[in-house]
Amino acid sequence: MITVSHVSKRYNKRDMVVDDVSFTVEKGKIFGLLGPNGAGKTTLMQMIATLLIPTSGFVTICGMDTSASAQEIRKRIGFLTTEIKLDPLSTPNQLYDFFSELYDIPREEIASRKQASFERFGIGPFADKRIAELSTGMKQKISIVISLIHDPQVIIFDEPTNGLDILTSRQVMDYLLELRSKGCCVLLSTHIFSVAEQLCDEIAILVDGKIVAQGSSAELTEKTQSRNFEEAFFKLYSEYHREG
Amino acid sequence: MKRAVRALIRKTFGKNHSMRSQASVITLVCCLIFICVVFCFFRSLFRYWYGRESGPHLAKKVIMVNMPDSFREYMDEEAVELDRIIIEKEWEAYFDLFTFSDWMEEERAFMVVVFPEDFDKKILKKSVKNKPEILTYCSSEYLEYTEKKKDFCERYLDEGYFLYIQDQMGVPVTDMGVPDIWLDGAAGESPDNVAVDRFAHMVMPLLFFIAVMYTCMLSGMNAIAGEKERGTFAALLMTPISRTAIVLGNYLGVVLHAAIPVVILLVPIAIFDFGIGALGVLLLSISLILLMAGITILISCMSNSIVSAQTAFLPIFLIVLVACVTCMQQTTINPVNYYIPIYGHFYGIGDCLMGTASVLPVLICSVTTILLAAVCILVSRRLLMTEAFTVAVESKSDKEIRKAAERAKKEQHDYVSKARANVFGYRPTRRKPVSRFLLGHAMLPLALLSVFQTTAMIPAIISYMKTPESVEFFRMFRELSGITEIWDAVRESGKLFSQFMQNTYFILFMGIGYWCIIGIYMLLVRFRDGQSLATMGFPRRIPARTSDAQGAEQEPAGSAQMTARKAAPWKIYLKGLLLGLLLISSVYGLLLMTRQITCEGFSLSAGSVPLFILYILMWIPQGATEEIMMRGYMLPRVASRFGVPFAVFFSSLCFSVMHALNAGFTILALVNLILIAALFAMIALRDGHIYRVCAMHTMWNLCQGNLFGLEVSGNAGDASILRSFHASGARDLLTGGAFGPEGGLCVTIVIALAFLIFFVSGARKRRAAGSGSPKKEEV
Repeated sequence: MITVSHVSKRYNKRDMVVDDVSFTVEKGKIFGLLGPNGAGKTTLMQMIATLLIPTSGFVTICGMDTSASAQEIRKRIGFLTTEIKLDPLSTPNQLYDFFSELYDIPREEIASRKQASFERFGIGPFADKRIAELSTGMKQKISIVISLIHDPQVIIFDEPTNGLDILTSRQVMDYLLELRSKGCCVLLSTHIFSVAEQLCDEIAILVDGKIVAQGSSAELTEKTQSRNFEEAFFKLYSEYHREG
Repeated sequence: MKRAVRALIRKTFGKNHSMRSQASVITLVCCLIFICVVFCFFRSLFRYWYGRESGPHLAKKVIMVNMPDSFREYMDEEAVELDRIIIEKEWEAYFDLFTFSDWMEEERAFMVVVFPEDFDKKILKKSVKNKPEILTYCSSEYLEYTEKKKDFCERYLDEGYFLYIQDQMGVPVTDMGVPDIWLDGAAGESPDNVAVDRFAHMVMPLLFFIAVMYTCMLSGMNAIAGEKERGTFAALLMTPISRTAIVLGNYLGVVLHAAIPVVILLVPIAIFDFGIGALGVLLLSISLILLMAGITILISCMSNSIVSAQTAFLPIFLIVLVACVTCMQQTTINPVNYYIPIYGHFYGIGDCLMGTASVLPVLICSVTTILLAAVCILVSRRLLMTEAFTVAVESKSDKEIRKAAERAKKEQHDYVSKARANVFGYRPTRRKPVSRFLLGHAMLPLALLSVFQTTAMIPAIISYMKTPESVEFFRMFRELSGITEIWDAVRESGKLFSQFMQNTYFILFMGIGYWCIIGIYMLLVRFRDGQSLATMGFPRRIPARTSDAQGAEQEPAGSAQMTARKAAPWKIYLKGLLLGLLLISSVYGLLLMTRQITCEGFSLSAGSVPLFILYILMWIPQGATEEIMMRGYMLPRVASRFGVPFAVFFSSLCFSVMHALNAGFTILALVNLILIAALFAMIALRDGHIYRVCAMHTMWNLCQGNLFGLEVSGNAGDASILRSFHASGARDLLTGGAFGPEGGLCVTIVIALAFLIFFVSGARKRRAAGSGSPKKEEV
């Protein structure tokens, strides 16, 4: 459903942030992008999510090009990133209503949908508190609910468990698995090995804007002749990371 | 699309975070002050209406100051019944408006007529040139006072007293003007409709503009730029609504928001029955809102934070306000202006209210404005299509940031370690751009001096106004307006203000001011720069010197280099005083010898001893301040970056230019001051501290002004021990004229000589470092 084809991005003339990246993500699969900070994960994610336009190459989602039919694609994807924050002075209720309007969800469905998803994440008791008063975990849950407000087929999550405690990140991971079983296609970026290892059907390791290895965690461990996935990552990283 | 736009409008219109989360205390205070000012303004405008009904308790008296006998005679002979309302007073200073306004309040008088003390005598002289002037002060508290004053002047002065003088004394006084001075605010024209007209043409349009611009800024900046700042904008971008909808939704929200105050303003207009004009106002204000909202949204799209958006909008706000003010001042209006947005709005609103507007200009102006607003929206939409204005792009990777930081660190290190010179042990810590560096060094002394001088001037002026000489001062002041050449004006005003330099208060406050400046410099060095005071030439211990030039007479040969001489600063200071005395005495001697000046013996009277002491107390910090500014602070800092020669030149030039506004400044004075400053700089450099030059500077000025009675850089002093005059055949080239000896060749000669001795002794010192004994030098 997601096809990334020879995508490159540079912000200035010298520095290539994403360098000739290609991969595809099938329906009902979770694809993980693993890399250190500054490897270009977020930029790549933003390009896939239509916020940025690739310098070269192209991205198609559900067969549509991101730069040509961005608006159509946005109806079909849910994008979550730490860069996107919630209005601190609004309440979850208000935010849900506001975004329902923007996503053009039928009025009669809003209430029932809201109730269902608030229940799923236990937001109900906090529904009328301001975002500013809520905990990081609760904010993240609300972000997830809002980004999936329109039941997207393609889900792009940039570091969804970042800064969350074990309980909450467990909840989030469970939810992602649930989404996969529903047939959604999930693209996930993380720098946490356990998340990548447990969730992802396929992992791409991104170092300095390039994909240096791709496959399931077992495959990658085997390929680099390492004892575990973590060691495999370090081997790949030290092999490909160019200093200076 | 419609649904999304509606949701966005509701959000932008309904949610206004700025008051809750963004407003700083300063903004709130400013708002409060603004509201108070507007309120007071309104109150003063409407006072004429409600004042009429309640009937304010009006003052009826007139105070006559220094009433001449001829006026009494006039009253007697013409049987003028003025006794009931006239109060007589005597006062010698006739510009002392403080006293006069006090009197007016005490006596409940609305007017003061001030005659010069010797009015009759002057009249009898019949001199056309030296005509006595009568001044009238009038309270402008109520309009009635203007009328009463006018009436009084016409009846008893113009058509009464003046005619009487003309008849009785045979003096033509037809064109004897009576200058008015209005106390307390401005006086307005009396008829009601003028006030209404002014209200409609000035106040109402201004209110519309301010209300619209302020609300537009408040909600417009918050709309997109605020969302970007809070990081919520990307969520909006991710929704499947078009960029057009985003812009339009936010835009309409801002428009609605800005419409609130306009509606509030329109309600009284409708109530006051301005008729069909209200429609015109509506049209104009709507188009104004549309344009302003468009501009704010455009700026909002371009900015990444509320503050940057507000900063960008502020100039526009101010420009529009300035346009409003120019509109208010124009009495004859170019008809083209009615068609131009902003101008057209301002005039149009006023004309609509007064019912004098024509339809076509209003329509054309509105349509043009709406078109402009549309352009703003289109540009905003286009901006949101590009990613630079939507996603806050983190263009630098961690690696690059790290590299840049390292580069900056290295540069800083290079800068600190590669200082061009090390004067007074100063080592630079921060690197600033060259222009900012030099400008900062040149402007800091000027700024500090002007602040403290202006402050010291205030008590001086106030006390001066109460003295009779102020008459002369104000005459000179009025003559200033006749001068067209800028340099003449500068010189003349310099001359004018130099009068205050002799004022006790000025000297006292200036002395305090100099101490403050010294304090400021110390604080700057100590806490802003984190350097020791030694880097501004005030080491706690006097450092050992390899070659000691001046004042090291008794030192045995050879030991100068090796032993660290621990001379106490105060000893050096005393020696510096002597050296300064020597220098200035030789100048004075030279002037005497060349018969350029004559000394007429002692002039210090017992009465001026306190002033003399005050002068001494002022010269001490004065000399030190100028030395700290130029030598202590500027020299090592500029030298560390550009080398010693440039630093000496630069600081000397600054020192010289600082005196450029003083009276009698010439090119020769400029050169001389540079030379003196350079000499002082050399001495300070050789010493490694500035104690000596501080003392020299103080002594120089003190002797010059208060021992020999000469001008100090254009400022003449009062309390001097000796009295000296320029001899009859004196030439300004030698004496420096009004600027004092620094403007003349004598100083050039003495300083050149001093330089010679300085270099010769320095060279001898170097040679004598191993053997030979340095000889005491004479100036």
